[in-house]
Amino acid sequence: MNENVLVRVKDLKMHFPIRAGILKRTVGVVRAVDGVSFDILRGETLGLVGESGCGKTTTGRAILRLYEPTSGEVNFRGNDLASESAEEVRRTRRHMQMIFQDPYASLNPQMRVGEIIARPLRVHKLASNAREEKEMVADIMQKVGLNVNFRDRFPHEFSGGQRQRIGIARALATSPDFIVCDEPISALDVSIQAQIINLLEQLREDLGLTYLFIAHDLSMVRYLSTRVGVMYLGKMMEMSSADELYDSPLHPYTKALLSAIPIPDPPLERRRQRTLLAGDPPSPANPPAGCRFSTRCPIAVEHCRKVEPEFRLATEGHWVACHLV
Amino acid sequence: MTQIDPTSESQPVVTAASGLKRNSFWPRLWRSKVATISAIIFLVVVIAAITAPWLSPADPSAIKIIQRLKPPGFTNSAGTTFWLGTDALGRDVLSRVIFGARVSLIVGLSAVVISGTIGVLVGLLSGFFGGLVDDIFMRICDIQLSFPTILLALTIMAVLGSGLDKLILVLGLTGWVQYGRIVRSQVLALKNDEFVLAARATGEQRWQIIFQHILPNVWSPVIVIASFTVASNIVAEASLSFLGVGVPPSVPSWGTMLADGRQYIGVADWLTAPAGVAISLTVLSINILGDWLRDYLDPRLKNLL
Repeated sequence: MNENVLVRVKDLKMHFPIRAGILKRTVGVVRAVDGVSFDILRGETLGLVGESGCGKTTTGRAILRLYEPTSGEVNFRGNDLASESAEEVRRTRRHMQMIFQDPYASLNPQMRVGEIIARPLRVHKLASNAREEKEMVADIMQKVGLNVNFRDRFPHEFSGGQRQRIGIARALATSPDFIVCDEPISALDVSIQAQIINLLEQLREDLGLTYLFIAHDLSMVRYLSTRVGVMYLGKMMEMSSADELYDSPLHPYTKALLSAIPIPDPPLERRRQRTLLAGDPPSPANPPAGCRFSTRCPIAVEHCRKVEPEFRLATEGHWVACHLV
Repeated sequence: MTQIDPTSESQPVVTAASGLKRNSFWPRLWRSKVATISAIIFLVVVIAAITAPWLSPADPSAIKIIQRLKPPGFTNSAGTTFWLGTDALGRDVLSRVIFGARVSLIVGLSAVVISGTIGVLVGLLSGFFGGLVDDIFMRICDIQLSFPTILLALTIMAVLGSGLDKLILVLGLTGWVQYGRIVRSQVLALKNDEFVLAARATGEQRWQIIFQHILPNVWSPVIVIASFTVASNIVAEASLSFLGVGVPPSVPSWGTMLADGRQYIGVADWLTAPAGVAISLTVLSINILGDWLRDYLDPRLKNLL
């Protein structure tokens, strides 16, 4: 495997059974993630975008094995996580962390801030004594811009942005290589979003982190990401370097998504051409045959509804799953 | 662009002036008058229970038929005053009430420790693991719930015979269902919270997640139930003793006092009134304290009280 590849995801599938009746029989499955493959290179930020319910959060969680993937491979630093035992994965968690979407739900309300940040150190036995632990916590708090004097406060005493900083501090505590950022800014208001984004970007530079950045805010993703992947209904539709994807998108779904970004200039905004998609995404419990996007695609032909397009290299470093490109 | 301004956003929402002192245990208790009064009553009962041999003016078991059924304030020829009168066997009612506090508190608290421990453990495991574990525990709960607690206790005590230790065990083993159910429902809600997922992502082990992350979040309902069951255990002890299957008649207990005094209630109401008042006040103060403690333990309510 290439030296530079930190995470390799190969044909990852995550299906959730639908159970019904008193006997809890499986009556169907939700194909939240249905075979996605990609690499994340050391030091890069891979953005993952798509509308709600397309499986981007599930992908992030399945990579960290917070869910047991139905099938597929997740290779992290040369080891296949999917085949490791629970205990091995637990020890590997030191090197891969997660920042959660909701800073209100992701912090234990009964724990003091210092305790929340110290837990990862304790779990992985990274501090040799209480004093060292205290110093490490103070150091991390400073890194994320939290006042060290507030270590004995409870999460509810902080604002959303501060709470998200606590969540980031917790993720950084074990000095991980790889962090999955699961929509870390979508619960914050706009002025705070920029602060958190800058913080994440600075930390990546200072600490040499690698991010999988999950979001639905397309302009934020462009600003942060080296490469961007677009998901639709559990499948990867397109993936390329951020600039290329935004400047010359190939997939009709990507084009539709990008056309939805408002332009902060009224005259230009009025002339903006929008591709409006008809209808809602189909249910992931019963995806359409052929191309997943064929039911809403403005350019779909008969062939699209029968044969599923493969995810192939269209040009250098630009992957796409569409028959018509 | 990547400059972070630490001052703009890192001040806590609550100002430092509200201080830790104002919110520590005793000042908080003092601010609630009802809770303070309850605490004092409860403390008096506890002190009475501990110091009963020194505090009580007479031997609670000393029988003297000659001075039977004397009204409160009666002074015998030896110059001893019986402030709450004497019972049908000439025993000092005040001393019996003081000694009765011992039985009530021991039964109330010990049984709660037993039932609380079992119930919380069952609830945690049942809620967290779900599946077969949950099914088995919850069916046991259902079976237990189908018997009225007092009837179950009465039956077991009738078979085992009376005794303080047996009473504690029976009340302890019949009372866990409430804890189990409440804790289970709390755990079911909590285990899908993001902070539990975050704990897993951190690499915490399952027992750490259960006991260090989830357990602290179920304490407050447990404490409220515990306070109510201390109270209901005291009542249960009194009822079982009243019915003659609780503590042996020789041991002074509020329940036995009520039972003994019942037949004289028309002529000597001082036999039943003190025990009844003692039960009511103790139970009421424990309930109020439990309520207050629940609010105290919820850090989100800290500045509102």
